[in-house]
Amino acid sequence: MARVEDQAALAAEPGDLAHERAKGLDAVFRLGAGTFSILVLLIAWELFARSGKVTPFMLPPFSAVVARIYADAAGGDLWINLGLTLYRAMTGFVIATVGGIALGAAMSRIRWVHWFFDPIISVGFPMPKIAFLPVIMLWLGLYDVSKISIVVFDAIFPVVTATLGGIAGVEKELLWSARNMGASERQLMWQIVLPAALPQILTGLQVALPISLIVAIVAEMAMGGYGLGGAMMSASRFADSRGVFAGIVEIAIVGYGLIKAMALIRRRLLVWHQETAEHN
Amino acid sequence: MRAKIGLLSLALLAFGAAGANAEPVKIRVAWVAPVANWISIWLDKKDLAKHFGQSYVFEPVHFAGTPPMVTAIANNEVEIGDLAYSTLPIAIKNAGMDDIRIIADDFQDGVDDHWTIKYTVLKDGPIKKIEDLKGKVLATNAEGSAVDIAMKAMLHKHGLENKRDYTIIEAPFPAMKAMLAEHKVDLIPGILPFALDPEMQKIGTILFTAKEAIGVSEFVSFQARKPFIDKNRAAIVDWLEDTQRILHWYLDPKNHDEAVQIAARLVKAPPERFGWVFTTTDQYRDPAMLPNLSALQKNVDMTKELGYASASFDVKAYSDLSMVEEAGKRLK
Repeated sequence: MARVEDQAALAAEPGDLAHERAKGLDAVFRLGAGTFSILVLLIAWELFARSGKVTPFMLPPFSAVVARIYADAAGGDLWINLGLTLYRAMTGFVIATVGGIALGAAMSRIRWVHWFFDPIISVGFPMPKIAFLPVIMLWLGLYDVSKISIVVFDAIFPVVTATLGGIAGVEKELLWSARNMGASERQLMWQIVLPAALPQILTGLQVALPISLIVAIVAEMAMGGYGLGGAMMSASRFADSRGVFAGIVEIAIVGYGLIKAMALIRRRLLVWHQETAEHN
Repeated sequence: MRAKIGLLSLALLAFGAAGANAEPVKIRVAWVAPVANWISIWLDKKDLAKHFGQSYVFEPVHFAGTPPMVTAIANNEVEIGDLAYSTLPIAIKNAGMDDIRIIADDFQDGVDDHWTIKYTVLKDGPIKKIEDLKGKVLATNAEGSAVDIAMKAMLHKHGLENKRDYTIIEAPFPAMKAMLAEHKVDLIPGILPFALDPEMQKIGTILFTAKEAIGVSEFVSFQARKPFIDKNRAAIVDWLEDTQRILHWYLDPKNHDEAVQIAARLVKAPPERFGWVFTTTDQYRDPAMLPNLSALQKNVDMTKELGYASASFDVKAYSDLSMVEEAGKRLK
């Protein structure tokens, strides 16, 4: 049986006021469905924290955490920490994107490149690359270079493998047709191969993006200083539970925002693709 | 009838036996720096511990610094904490553990000619005075530790504030020499035994000491939570009696050679490097394990003034030295 909001939409005629109202109702229902479970979790958190079963040190109330976030925002600390974490995560992500796509494309088209890098990618991909953090700190120091480097090191692997997979999946008929029409290898790559592989490449980027954020935060936790991760570790050291939980909420909001932004970018870039038409 | 009496006697016997053989109390004691926190070498002389295995069993638990200990104490994962003067107000006021009681001294810093922490920079480096640390990276074992707060107190006196003027990174004590030598950090805290490493002394020079920063300090003391004290007071007194006996053994010059061997074994370094251990070159340890509460009060007030604790408190009100005093009387 169709859902209530779908039935409402179907019953109205296009261009109708009722149709517009139905679309609005549908949007409200979708928003509610998306946030209802979060709201339940937050209410449960608040009630449990205030119940007396745990100390505020173990679990501060959600309202206290929100107040702390507000205080950090008003004081400016939040924006400094957020800005630095985003700078490190996104710089690393962009470098991993450009490098990963270039390497994946080179591996798919040039035999010796594939021969050389395939074992490295196969061994490196399943490894917990964050384990290299002490080495990266030793070689590159304790400022942004080492933090961005570990982000690149972690995020590049899913981009490479997604690019390889996407290019390998391009229909041979497309390539043959383009060659028959006199397309050069360069034209083939930019006008046929990469656009056809784009859905899978974007999937790789959607995997790499949260990895970039996670690794940036973990690196900040290990190295200290400014940044959401460094702020959380500092709060933990001073038994400042509100600060710790504020960091967790801030990271959750930032992560959610980045993932939604990436999904929007995907829909825009793939406006021509079947998956976007199905979504609409 | 006889059978009933027999069964009743057996039951009474079993009950009596169970009472007599009550499980020993598990006492897990936290420590951070090997040898400096001499609890790390307590078990090497457990033959001196009369009550070990009887009224208590003892287990040393290692932490990277005293701040993580606060979480462990809050979760009852250690029974006796080894908190520093800086983490005591954090535990009591920030974490709300109002039932913590100081029960004995571990060691003090800057007493007479005894050891004080030496904050070290490279001999041939650009840092010649404290103001030169502006824009630099400083190592600490854990933010909020005694080592860390003493360093920040000194920098604060010279107009330098954390994050605004310098960056703090956390690193394990054994790794700090390499980080300084490799120019990854610009200053490290020189604690025992690492500060007396000949290589460290070759490359490093002392910029300031903890004594210059904060005076004499009750650097680290032992604490327990009141519910645990109320329930297991007798076992704690037994542990303190044995601990004092072992401490006296280590402090006795007659046993110095063996103490050196024990320390060297723990740190996996040549014994020649441990001649200082339990001498006047070492940290000061009160033989009666009585903490210097007036020094501790100043240290706690300073931690609050620097903004690292939400409030100060009366350290006497949070102390219970009756057990260590009782233990000391037994040894006389």
